[in-house]
Amino acid sequence: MNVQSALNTESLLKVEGLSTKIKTPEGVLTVLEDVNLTIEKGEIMAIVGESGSGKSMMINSILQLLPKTLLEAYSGNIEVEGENLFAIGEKKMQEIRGKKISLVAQNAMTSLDPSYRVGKQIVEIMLEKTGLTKEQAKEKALNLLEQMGIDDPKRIFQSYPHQLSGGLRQRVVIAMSLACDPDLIIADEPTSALDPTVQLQVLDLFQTINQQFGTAILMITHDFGVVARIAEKVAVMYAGQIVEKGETADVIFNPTHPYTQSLIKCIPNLDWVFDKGAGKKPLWQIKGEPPNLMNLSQGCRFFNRCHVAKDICQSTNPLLKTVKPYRNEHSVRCVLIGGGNE
Amino acid sequence: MLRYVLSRILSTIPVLFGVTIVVFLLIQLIPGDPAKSILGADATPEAVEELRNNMGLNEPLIVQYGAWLSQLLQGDLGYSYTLHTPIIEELMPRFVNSLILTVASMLICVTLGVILGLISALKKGSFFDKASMGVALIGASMPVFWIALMLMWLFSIKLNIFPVSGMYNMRNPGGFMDLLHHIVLPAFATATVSLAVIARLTRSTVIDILQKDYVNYFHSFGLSKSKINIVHVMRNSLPPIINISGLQVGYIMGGALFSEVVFNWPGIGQALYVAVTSNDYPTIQAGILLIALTFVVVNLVVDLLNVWLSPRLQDSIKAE
Repeated sequence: MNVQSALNTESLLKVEGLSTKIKTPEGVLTVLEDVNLTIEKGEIMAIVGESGSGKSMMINSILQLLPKTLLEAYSGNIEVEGENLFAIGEKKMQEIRGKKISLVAQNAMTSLDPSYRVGKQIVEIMLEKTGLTKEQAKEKALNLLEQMGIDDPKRIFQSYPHQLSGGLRQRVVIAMSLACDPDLIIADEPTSALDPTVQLQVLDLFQTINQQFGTAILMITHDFGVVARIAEKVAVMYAGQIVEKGETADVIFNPTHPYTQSLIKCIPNLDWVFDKGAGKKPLWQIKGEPPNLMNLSQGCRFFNRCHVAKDICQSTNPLLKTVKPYRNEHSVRCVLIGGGNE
Repeated sequence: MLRYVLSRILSTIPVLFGVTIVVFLLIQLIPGDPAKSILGADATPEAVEELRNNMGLNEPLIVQYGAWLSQLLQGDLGYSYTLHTPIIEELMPRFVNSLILTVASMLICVTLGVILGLISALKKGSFFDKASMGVALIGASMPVFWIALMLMWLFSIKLNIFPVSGMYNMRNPGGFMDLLHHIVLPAFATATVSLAVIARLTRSTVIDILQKDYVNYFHSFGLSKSKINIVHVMRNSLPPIINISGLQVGYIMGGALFSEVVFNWPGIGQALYVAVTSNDYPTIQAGILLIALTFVVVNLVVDLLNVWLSPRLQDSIKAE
């Protein structure tokens, strides 16, 4: 063991002050602003946010998959095990994709090539990214499929995507993401297209993978149920910014940002479902629409929809402030909350 | 699977039957009397009438059709009035010559069309894309006989690179290389329009496939771009490209009629042209029938290729 790994001071993934700007026909759009994230080895972290909050842009920025025609500029830093992704060049980046960081695609229904047997697609990745022979790759793929809780891996290996159910396809996609033993899996809403029972199975599968392989997982979701079930840490995103992040228990039981509070209030619980006066008592909703990133005011991006907004919110751009320091840091981007700036 | 192939082959029979009816009726609509054209302008009405009786032209249409069809089924395409030979002897070698021209044209339009379309799609919005699609639009709008004349004027007469006409050099028959030398211009003239059509379709198909989730997903694994483009993008673009190419065979055979006449290519088109101008009905019928038969066969092949290429289609066939 060398000194570096013994000290193990480097985080697996470190995103610092990341801003991503893209080109659109209307002009340049800042889809991510001042994003800070750290994922340690073997950790499960979730990013929560509604559509358009920048979750997918986050993935595309980390894996640097934004096409040149779309990307205006990155700023800030993304480090994988201490290596700055913006400095290493495309060739090394290709090495990191799949091998260090891999993706579990959002829609398993459309993320497998309909023209090839699924086994062949897993093997294809292994053959190109690892030094395995064809036989070794096939054996490993069959093993992976079995570890994904698939009963007859041989039959699934030989199947075409359209012959599999949604749950099976998702398992195949997860097996594919593990093809080159990555240190981090980014799962992009891996359960939103699945039946509720299958959702739980797939979530448990992620947990098993995390425990068995020690793979860190960055779970992108809009569902606090998913967060509560598997994530250790969570970051809440709104309009391209992280508005709150911390340990899952802290954020769920003690949501501090008004947006997080609203999101959690939106989840119907059984008390509400079985309330006799349910018809009269509407479920909490967040009024209005997310802001247009094209013309943002200088104040808080949640101002227009916030239930506790004050005048100061409109004029002051809030910074991420630590409300609970040290190891299990909890921080919030809201001017109304006390505490020191990060 | 075998059952599907057989049923697909059997299903071409009614189509071919329909083709014979259409071809037969079409000829009846053409003005002119074959008996008159055989006997010449000076023939007496009595002689014409007698010949019409002998040829069965005074029988009801249905009887004439029946006689013609039973002949066809025995492999007899009829006897040419003007050439005084059995049509099959006259047409078959020419049919082969036409097939050679068609295959050459198909090779040109499919390879160049797919390459142009693919590069344009991968470099969408680039100068190459705009230029080649502009040229394709112009190419698709030009009539074959005009292209043929222009090519001949430029490359044969002005530049003297390729021969003006024919299939082989009469004085110095040179085998395959000579054929190649002669086929370039007629093949290009015939292929131009189809090349443009295939290039445009390939471009739009590839652009469509490039946006598929699975293509992006494979990119996220850091696989080589060119490999993804070949293994996944091209593979999934094939079915529509094969479909349109199959349709182009029909178009090219039609276009070959023009370039055969212009370049004096001894093919079936040229024979048809001569037959039409001399009212040689049986030859016209036989020629159209041969072309239609080729088209039906090509469509059959395209259908079977599509099934072979698409696991989904195979499953739906198995399920039937």
